[in-house]
Amino acid sequence: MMKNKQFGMVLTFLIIVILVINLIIFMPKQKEEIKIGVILPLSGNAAVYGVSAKEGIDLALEELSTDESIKIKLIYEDSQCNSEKAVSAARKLINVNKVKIIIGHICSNAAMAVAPIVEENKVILLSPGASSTDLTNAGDYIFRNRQTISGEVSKIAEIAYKKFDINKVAIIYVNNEYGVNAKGIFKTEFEEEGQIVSTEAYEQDATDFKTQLTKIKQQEPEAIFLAGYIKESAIIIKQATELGLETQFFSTLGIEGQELLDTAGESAEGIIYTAPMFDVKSDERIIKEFVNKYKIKYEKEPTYVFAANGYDALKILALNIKKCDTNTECIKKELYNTKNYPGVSGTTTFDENGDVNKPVMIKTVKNGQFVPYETK
Amino acid sequence: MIEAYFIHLLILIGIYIILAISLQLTIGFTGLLNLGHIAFFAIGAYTAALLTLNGTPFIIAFLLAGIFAMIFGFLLSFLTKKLKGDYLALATLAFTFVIYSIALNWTGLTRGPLGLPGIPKPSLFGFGFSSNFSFLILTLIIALISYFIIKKIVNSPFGKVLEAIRDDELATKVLGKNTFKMKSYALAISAFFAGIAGSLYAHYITFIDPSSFTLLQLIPILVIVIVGGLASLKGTIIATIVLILLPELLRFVGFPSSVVGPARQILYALILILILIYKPKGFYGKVELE
Repeated sequence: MMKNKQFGMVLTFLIIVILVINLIIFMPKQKEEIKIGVILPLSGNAAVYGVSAKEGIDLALEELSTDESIKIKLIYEDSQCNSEKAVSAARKLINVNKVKIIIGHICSNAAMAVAPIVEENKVILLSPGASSTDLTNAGDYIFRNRQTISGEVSKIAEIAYKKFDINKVAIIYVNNEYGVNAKGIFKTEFEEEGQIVSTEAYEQDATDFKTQLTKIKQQEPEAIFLAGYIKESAIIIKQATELGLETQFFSTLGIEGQELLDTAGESAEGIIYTAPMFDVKSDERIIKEFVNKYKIKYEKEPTYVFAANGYDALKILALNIKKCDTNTECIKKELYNTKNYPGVSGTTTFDENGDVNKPVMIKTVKNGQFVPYETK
Repeated sequence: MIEAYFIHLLILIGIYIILAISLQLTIGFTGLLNLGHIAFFAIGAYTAALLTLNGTPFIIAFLLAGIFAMIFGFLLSFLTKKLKGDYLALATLAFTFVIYSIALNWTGLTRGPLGLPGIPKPSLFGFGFSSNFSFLILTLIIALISYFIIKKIVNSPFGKVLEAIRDDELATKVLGKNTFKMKSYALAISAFFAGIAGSLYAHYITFIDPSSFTLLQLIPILVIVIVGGLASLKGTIIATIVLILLPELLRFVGFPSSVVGPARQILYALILILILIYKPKGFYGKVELE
């Protein structure tokens, strides 16, 4: 009896030991956790865009968490769109958390200030939102998957003189890095064919543009190019109509949103603008899936393209991490080799500067709806 | 690796010490509610950046940054000759906006909102301060020199007159002192140090744009001066260290990522309010601001 009991115990013990050893040997190998730093404006002026990008990134992470072959940990830091704060955040992520990859920056000033640090430490920076043209040549480790301003603006300039046969254009632009860049590119592109009769700047968050519009009106332009954001652009269109300035408006992706229809009303009809292929109402399968998942998780629509950019950013990185593991040089090389990645924000191909040129489409407002513009 | 992060923080502390003690000279010691300090900082940063980008040696650009800011300090003191208290605060605040607008709109010179990228790291007599550690040494030496100069000034007879102006300007005038001249010197000296701090900032971050020099950036420096205590250099230095390190420490508090931005700022504000409730004059404040 006693012997039997002892024997039983030894047997159970042996079985347990064998099981444990088995488990250790044959357990699916746990991948090393990869830390990715995320620097976004999570508070302050640009927080809406930062939070939007964050939601996209979080959604991508949730999807990746079901994938056994990769383990990603995100560390968020707030830049407040301030270059000094962004530098502190980058230093902390790189030196303390030892991240090798950073997704970050909606604001170009923050991106430009961080650029030398990531270059020095050989850390990959993938920006979902910085627009500055200076970032193109800022370094080898710097990528962005936001459409460059030049891609959009040259397209709209081309449409203006080719499709609309317009020769005299006035530009009204927001006096920040985005507006100044867009104005400059439009001017160089358009002046090859036509004439810029007037350029007027306004400060962000301004609400009265009658001075600039009156000056523009005196020059009798055939069209006006709006380089700015939805809030101000909507008011500009409304006030232009009030002043009897009935011209064709051209703009970029900043213009699409309910706010335009609410503020400008009928005056918004017929405006021509470029938009990324990302469209909430698109029928394309990947976009539909993304929008549905986003709606389930956050109970709202992904209004800003930054959500899609952020989502794509993490997905693209994950894809390359799978190939390269933690080898930064390899990830960098693979990023440059990324061709025609079917992203939610459009087909993504990085060029030799780490910029993307996603396809853009031309859209217009028709009967209070944002619809693709039919070229005749 | 982790040292690199501390070195970065120490450099920021060094730059902010220069900025804060020079602002203390006007606000705390002379009683001029000067809100134009960030404009002098901007003038220094832009002067140094533009000069070195065009090939001027660091040491000359560095000194010119201070001198240029000082000239503007003199100018501002002449323009605000007859103003006092709140009115002076408003006029100097306007100066901040003017300098910001110039930086934003004189695109030919400053590249406007595009900012100035690629500002070179300083080099002195053939020795390059390209590593952050050597830059830290440079910053600390300059901060230390600035501290001793300002300490010397406030302890000198001239400094005593400044304090007399703060406490009772009329009485000082009756004693036969040219208070305007004294005030204008104080403002110019303070502007000089803000200018050299701006130069260090530009060379350290290597990218400047007008958004770094707004009213929003002035507030932290003002907070340092008040939390440190008016007319106390020791307090100012302690406050600089505390207020630069505090938000960094909050990075290590494990907030859920959904509230990470706002939560840190709420906590930061809360701590500031508590400090001022328990220490209404700041750490070592001697006087109260009227």
